Amino acid sequence: MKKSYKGIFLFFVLMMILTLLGGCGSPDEKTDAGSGDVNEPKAAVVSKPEPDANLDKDIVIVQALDMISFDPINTSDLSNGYVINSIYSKLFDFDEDLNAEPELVENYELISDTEWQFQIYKGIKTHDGQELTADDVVYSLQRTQQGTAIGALFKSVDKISKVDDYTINITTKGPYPALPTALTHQACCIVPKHYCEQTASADNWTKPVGTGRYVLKNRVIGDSIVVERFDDYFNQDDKACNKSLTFKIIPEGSGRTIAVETGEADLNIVFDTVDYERVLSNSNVQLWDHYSQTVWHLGYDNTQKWFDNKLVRQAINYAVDREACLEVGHNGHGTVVYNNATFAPTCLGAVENPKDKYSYDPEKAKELMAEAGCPGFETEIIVFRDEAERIAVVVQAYLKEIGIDAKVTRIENSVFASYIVDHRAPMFITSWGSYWDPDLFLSRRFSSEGIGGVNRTWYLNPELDTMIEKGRSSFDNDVRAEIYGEAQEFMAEEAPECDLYVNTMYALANKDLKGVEINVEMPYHFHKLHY
Amino acid sequence: MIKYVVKRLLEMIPIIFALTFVVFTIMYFTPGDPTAVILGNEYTEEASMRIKQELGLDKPFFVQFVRYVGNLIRGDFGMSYITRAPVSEQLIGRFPNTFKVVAGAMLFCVALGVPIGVFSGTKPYSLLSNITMVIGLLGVSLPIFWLGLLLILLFSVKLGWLPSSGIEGFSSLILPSIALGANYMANIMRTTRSSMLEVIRQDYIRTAKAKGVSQRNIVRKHALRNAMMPTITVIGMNIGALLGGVVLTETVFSIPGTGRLLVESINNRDTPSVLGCLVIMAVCVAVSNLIVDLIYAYIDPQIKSQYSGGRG
Amino acid sequence: MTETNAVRKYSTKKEFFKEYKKKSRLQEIWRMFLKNKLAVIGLVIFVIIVLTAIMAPLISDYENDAIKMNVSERLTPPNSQHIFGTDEIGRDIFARIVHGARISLLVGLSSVIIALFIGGIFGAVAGFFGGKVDGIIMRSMDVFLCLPDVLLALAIVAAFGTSLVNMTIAIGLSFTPKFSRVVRSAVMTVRDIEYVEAARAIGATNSRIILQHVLINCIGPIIVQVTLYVANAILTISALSFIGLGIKAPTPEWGNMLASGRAFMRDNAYIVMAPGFAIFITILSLNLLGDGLRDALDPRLKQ
Repeated sequence: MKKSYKGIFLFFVLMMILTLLGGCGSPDEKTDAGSGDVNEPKAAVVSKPEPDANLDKDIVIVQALDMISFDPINTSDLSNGYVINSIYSKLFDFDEDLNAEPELVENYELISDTEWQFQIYKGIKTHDGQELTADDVVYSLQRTQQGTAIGALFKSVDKISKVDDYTINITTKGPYPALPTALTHQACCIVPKHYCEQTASADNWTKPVGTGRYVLKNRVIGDSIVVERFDDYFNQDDKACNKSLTFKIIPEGSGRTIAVETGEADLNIVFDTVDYERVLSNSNVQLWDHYSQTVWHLGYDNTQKWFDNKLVRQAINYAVDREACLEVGHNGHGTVVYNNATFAPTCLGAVENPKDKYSYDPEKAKELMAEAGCPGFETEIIVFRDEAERIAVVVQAYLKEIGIDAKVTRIENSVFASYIVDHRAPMFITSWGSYWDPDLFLSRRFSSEGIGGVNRTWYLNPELDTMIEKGRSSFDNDVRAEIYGEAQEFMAEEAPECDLYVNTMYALANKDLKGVEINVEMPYHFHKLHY
Repeated sequence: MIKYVVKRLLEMIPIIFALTFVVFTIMYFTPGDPTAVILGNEYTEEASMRIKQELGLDKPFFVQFVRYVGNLIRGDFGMSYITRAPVSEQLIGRFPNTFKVVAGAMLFCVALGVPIGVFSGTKPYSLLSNITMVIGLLGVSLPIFWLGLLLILLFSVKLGWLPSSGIEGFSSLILPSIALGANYMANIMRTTRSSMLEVIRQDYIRTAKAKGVSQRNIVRKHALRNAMMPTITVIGMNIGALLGGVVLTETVFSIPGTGRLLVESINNRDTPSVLGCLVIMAVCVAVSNLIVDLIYAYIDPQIKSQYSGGRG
Repeated sequence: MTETNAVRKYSTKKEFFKEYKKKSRLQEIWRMFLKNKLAVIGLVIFVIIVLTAIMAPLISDYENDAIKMNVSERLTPPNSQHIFGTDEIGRDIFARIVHGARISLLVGLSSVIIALFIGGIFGAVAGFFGGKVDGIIMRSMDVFLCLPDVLLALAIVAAFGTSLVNMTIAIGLSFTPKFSRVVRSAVMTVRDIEYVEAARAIGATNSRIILQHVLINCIGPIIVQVTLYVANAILTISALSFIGLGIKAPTPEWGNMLASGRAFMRDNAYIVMAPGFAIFITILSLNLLGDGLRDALDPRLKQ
């Protein structure tokens, strides 16, 4: 008996080894049908539903991370925005380039350089059946003003007041041309006053009430969020083109692709480019793309030892090969940027390589380290996304070349803010979706207005503050572009962070799904999705 | 019998209490300021002090522990630092998924492991029996997470038969159950086989054979019940391991269960959730041990009659 | 062997060892062991793995092959230069497996030593004294047994952070209750045997008796358990690394190689093959070895 079972044992082991070798031998084999029939990605454009469209479907959307909170002023995290933009509405929604387009506002005017008046529609219904008035808007925006998620975007805002039941007046401290765009920020979601007061006192945001196109139906933390069409949405011409949206969280990139391929999901809004070739040869799915203003960057805490030294910061910028980061992080799908102030190439006044610095140059980096008298040190890179973790390993290797020994620590996105506040993130890798108007990110990211918010690098400099002030005070974009060009050159010298690349935006959809729209930051306008 | 059940139930309470103490103590020493996690962006000194007072985090260790246990008895696991929702709500949302996976794995182990074990135990020289032994040997050494990845590669990626993630419908339960259960199935198979082998050699079986009872009846009526004892012990011992393994299974298959909640909460430094997950899993282990003991007592008349003496 | 003989013979440590390691007994065990071909296969594989780990620097260079990335060669399928291919940032998978063996074995062995040491003390004391001491110690150990050891290790890592040392301690502590049980029962079976009584009669202290006589005599079952638990520890460490709470990049560890390669496995299946197989074969060899040792050390258990 013994003998035969040993024989079988060896047979099995042999089989396993053969299987492994087999698995190794044919990595390029593609299983999907229709090879040679490549489906190039389509550019996502704004569209209107056809008359015969089915507007009553349940649409399943997969994303990578769970949302954080239904309180809009709590966070500016993208994963959060996907959901709360569906539940609440804002005075202005953003368009493809993140510029303002009126939503609740019927008309508005600039009374003087510093005074704006907004008139909202009449008869806007909240999910619990009340009418939304100027009181709600004023209350909600004042709350936003106090919160930190928006912080600097509202710094120039002086007073928010009610004129009559449907008119709101906002005065600013100086000219603030970007105000409508600022009002598109997700922290500016209008939360009805009565609901907000009762919720804020109990600190229970689990049953949100808004005026948006969808009502929250169900949430399973870490798994899914289901929202249903709100039939009383005030703008009946622009209500949801589908019955409900289910946001499913699948942290694993290929898992999300597979979900769309198998029809389990209709749209993947966080496409992992590892599957790029594969989905192009699959005729059941369609890949949509759009250029991006999402800047992946390596940040560091400018207050901590060595990072407070300009030469060390410059050395880091020289030490990292951005092409390699792009290759590993997003499999080469994007464009590297040589910038230190999160200017995406399509932003107002963006300069491609300010002062022509920071092409990969390890020798120069070592020289700068020596010049700074830095013998090298140990530090930590905080990440919370798969892509960032991959980039971190690359960055880690480059930093090691110049004597910086960095440990990579992965956390959940929801605690990232607390790591920043605690100064527990000496280095970090994440992405930042830039607005077209630099005023909307420069001040928040690199001045005292953003401390405790998104000034994660803790970088402060009065000279830059003056430039920000200057850029804000003009309504002439040519003048502003020039000022922002100077700011970028200044920042290149200062190197408060190391921008790596912008990644092309993709959304993977079922081939029959219509109404897929992508802006420079993310797929959006899910209310337009239909079959 | 009821007396026995009650006695075992009462014995469970101090164990769960002690366990809560252990877990609470470990988590108490987590470095870092929990109020920074709670407040995030809105962190200020005063806010931090206020929250500490509200949550009683400024109190000494024992006061905090007593308070925690007091709330626990009322089913209150505290508030999550991150979602600011009650931990019990999260657990209620997540636990059914974990239960499904564990139950699926259990079913897979028992439904396959026992019959194959019995068969190969009664026919120890057959080809099937030998194959069983080999699979058993390899099976106990397969890491859950690697097996999970291999299953995904084969059944989801290559063949496209089964989903690779999620927990909707029966089909998505198949792969996780197999991945989680494989180790234990191998274990159960081996145990059943060897205890079957042993029982078959006993005198009373020989007697039965001599009396002309058919092989089938011998197995069914005589051997099985006795051979089951070690198998049940192994099943019972493995429930804990299954619940440990579920953390990995849920990670591999992206299943939103208690295991993944635990990992997320650890990454989030969300102490109340971590505690809640650990306590709930420990309770599960204790309860399933109890159930196994009861089944044991039910099957084995000797224990049934001894119950008043209790078990260590 | 008479009682008086035993006292004379074992009254010093040196003589005890001499006697214990009597050739005939060892030879008998070895013979038994060799009969079990599977166990021998296990031993051979394990020795190969240990040798690989020891000679890792000779086989491949840590800095240049296992750590240094090479983006231009990323995701290269196995070929003559990289027999297991390269990973997502172009490191040679073979080199990483080889160096990963060091981590796995190091943490595996040291955590079991911790478990053996702490668990051994508790178990020996409990088993030797019995009664109330036994009751208290074993009850508290039972509490820990209620929590699956992966979870216990997770809790400890969660509280104290994920360094190599913390992981080793966490895994060691999570195995402690099991070892205390093993040692306790082993101690209990030998504690009433004549020579222990005799040692006590001539006035040896308790700790001396436990250490010299009892523990050494129950070394057999302990060795078996150590073998099996080293396997278990290696599995646990790769599991923790897989879920991101163990050994961190860029240190090569089999579990974290699986975790980071996972995203690429759809098109590059080889990337998860080698690390997983390394874990599997290591655990298999230790299991085979452990089973073989058990059979050889305790022939009664063998059917």
